[in-house]
Amino acid sequence: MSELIEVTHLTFTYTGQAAPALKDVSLTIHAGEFITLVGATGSGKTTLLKQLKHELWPAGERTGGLTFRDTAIQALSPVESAQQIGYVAQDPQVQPIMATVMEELAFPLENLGYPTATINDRIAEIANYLDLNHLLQRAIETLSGGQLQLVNLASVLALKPQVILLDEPTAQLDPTTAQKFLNILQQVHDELDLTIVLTEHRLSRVMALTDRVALLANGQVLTVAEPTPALQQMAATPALQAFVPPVPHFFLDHNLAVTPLPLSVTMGRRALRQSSWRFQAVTTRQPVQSGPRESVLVATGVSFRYPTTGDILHQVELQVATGDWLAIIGKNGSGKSTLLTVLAGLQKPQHGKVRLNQQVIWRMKNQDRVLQVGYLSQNPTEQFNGDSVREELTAQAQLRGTSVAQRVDQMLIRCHLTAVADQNSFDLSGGQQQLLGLGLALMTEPQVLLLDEPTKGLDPDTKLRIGQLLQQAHETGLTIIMASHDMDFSAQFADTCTFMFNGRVNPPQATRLFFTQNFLATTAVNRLLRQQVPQALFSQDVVRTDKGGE
Amino acid sequence: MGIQTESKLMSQLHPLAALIYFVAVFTLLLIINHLLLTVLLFASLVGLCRWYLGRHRIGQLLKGVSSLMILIWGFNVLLNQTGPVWWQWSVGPLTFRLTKTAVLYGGTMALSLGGMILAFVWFNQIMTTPKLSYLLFPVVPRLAMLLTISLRMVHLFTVKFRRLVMLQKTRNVVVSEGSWRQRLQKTGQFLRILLIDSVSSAMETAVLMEARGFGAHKRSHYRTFRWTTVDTVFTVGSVGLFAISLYLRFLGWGWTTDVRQFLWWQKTDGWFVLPLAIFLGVPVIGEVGYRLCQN
Repeated sequence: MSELIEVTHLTFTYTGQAAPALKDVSLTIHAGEFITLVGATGSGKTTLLKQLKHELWPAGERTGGLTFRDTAIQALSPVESAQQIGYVAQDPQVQPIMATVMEELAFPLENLGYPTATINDRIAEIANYLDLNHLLQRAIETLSGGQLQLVNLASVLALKPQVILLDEPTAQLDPTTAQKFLNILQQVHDELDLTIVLTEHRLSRVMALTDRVALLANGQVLTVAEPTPALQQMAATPALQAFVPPVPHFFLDHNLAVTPLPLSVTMGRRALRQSSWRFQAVTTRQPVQSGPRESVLVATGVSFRYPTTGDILHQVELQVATGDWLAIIGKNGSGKSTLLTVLAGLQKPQHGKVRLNQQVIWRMKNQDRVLQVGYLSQNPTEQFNGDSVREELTAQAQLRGTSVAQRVDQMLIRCHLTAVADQNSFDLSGGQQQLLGLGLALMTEPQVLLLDEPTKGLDPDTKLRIGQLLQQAHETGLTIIMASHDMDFSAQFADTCTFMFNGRVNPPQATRLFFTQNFLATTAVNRLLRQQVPQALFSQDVVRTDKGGE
Repeated sequence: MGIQTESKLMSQLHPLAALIYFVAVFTLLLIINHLLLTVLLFASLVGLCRWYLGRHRIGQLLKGVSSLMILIWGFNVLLNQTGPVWWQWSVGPLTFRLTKTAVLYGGTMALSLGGMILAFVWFNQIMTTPKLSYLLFPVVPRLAMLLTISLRMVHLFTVKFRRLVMLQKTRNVVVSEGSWRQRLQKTGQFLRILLIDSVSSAMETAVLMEARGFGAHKRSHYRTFRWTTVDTVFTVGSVGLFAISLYLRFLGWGWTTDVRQFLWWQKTDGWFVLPLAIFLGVPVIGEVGYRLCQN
């Protein structure tokens, strides 16, 4: 394969920062390659990705070389750059600029002055290829996140680029939609021989597609290798251990020697069968069953619709006991977010009641409600007021009123935000913003905490940090209700789980029972070991019993 | 709904032909102030909007428009004290007079404004962004693009505004609670958050536009429009009727300069109704012809 992009000894420091975000990075990307950049938040992977297209260069000081087909990237004309190097951002909402899908697909072609006939030919081809014909006349705002991300990809593909850069393109999508998007990406890569450079946290699906993985830590490229050696190195590097997806992690954890490492459940099952490895459940501590507890939050007959929609919530019945941790699982668009805003008293349903400690929640004074119910949105920046991290927390702490400075300092430590306490909240990384959002929700010491997709777009380390932070608060008696499509996180932390679909919530079940009963919506390890140990949800739930086992 | 509208004659016309018709409609709404004629204009626009927008949307639209019309009429009745008095009521030094002029002029103004709103909504339905962009681009290319971007940004801003109103409650930023001073302070705080958030998103969008070649080359269009015989017939017919209406208006028909002279109807209105009704019926007549010409 010929060299397409060459990065040599690249060092980059953001304006106003002392430490470089990238340090002496060298990387060669070949034509037709699928390369994934992996690293924790702040490791420099997005910064590196943005260096590969001149228009995306952040402000800062850079040394070293960046070439595209032997031409310096900054020397490419805007037309060449737009045509050859495509980019898809993490948030599907920020890219579209036109009113309809058709106009959006035409936008880059119009920008480059293509004749009308060519534009229409290109759109026809790409719409047929990606099955977008039925969406062409749809208004952009009526599309789901998955459809929108597909339109963003199509809009970039319309220019027939040689390389597409994607910055965590599935971070905002639910697992099923993310899988569909990645399948299309694989199809595009395989059939069109496009070069793909992708940053991603959720590696369980991506690893099977990727040719090589570049591991980054602290602004440096640790290694560039094929998936199996890269996963082995990740498992051996403390900062990257959490990134190893559940299936390869299972094989490495139990020292099951197999090359290449299985990357998917299907490959894993095949490897287990071929080597006749056997497992049994380890005795796990059963959660202590306490007696019946009082319900703190009760929803009865709640129906909700927006002015332009049918019922989003349909006669929802839900009782959450004091000290419970409930995970509500469902696809994007199933009504989870709407339910949480209604439970939090932020929206008033057309029918039914939500009661917090017997009080109808939307009749409470706002400040009283904020003190009793914490809420974390999917996009925490919408809850910020644009001040520094310390000022944000102080303003929230003042609502409770006592020992403000001390509580703010404690919260900064708990959320690992002390180092960025004086930074503006909008300048933080995605993970730090999520931690700040959680800190704000916990600052008023609420009785109930509602979390909307608390792990969306987060790297595994930050996810674990959030889980631990919530666990600490939960142990002190906090009731948690979270909407999530993160099966592993829900299985690891929640006490009870339920499905939400068709505007209704099913009766909650104990977490282990819920996941072991499910066929599809369960953890990767459960799907891998279902035939042998049906109750296993995680790697540590089993031990090897055949000869050579632990 | 969009597809239904697309299949109707007005949407099939060349954007210039449609634009000329709409300019004529807006002009007539501005230059006529006789009650009978404004009733005709308003009623015709309700009918046309019902045909193009559908029953549900026109129903919603009329609910909003009628409250505004009642408000305008009410203000006229309250504030306009000139003309023949029908009834009066005094409290101390203040005297309220219900006058014929106020009732008639208020009604005319309300109908004209209601008609203007209906015409604008209809215009929006027919003159989609690519059509406007196509018309404006040769004259003011930057304005054409700015218009397109603004329409998207306005929508995003509205969505963001609604979300912020809801989510900032979690920070106790509620503009509808507390004293007026507190409400004012919180409104200021809220607008600041909205601005920071919007600027942050808009900058990211701008970078992504540039990444897709915006500004790199003279823009082209994915859609071109061809001037056909139907456009010629439609334009000649509608411009002809508009010219007759303008001539009648030039003669002083359909307009009363002194509001105190306002009447329920005048003899000339009866003659003016004819060209006006045919002009407003052109889209329907054209639609009938268009359908008759089906294979």
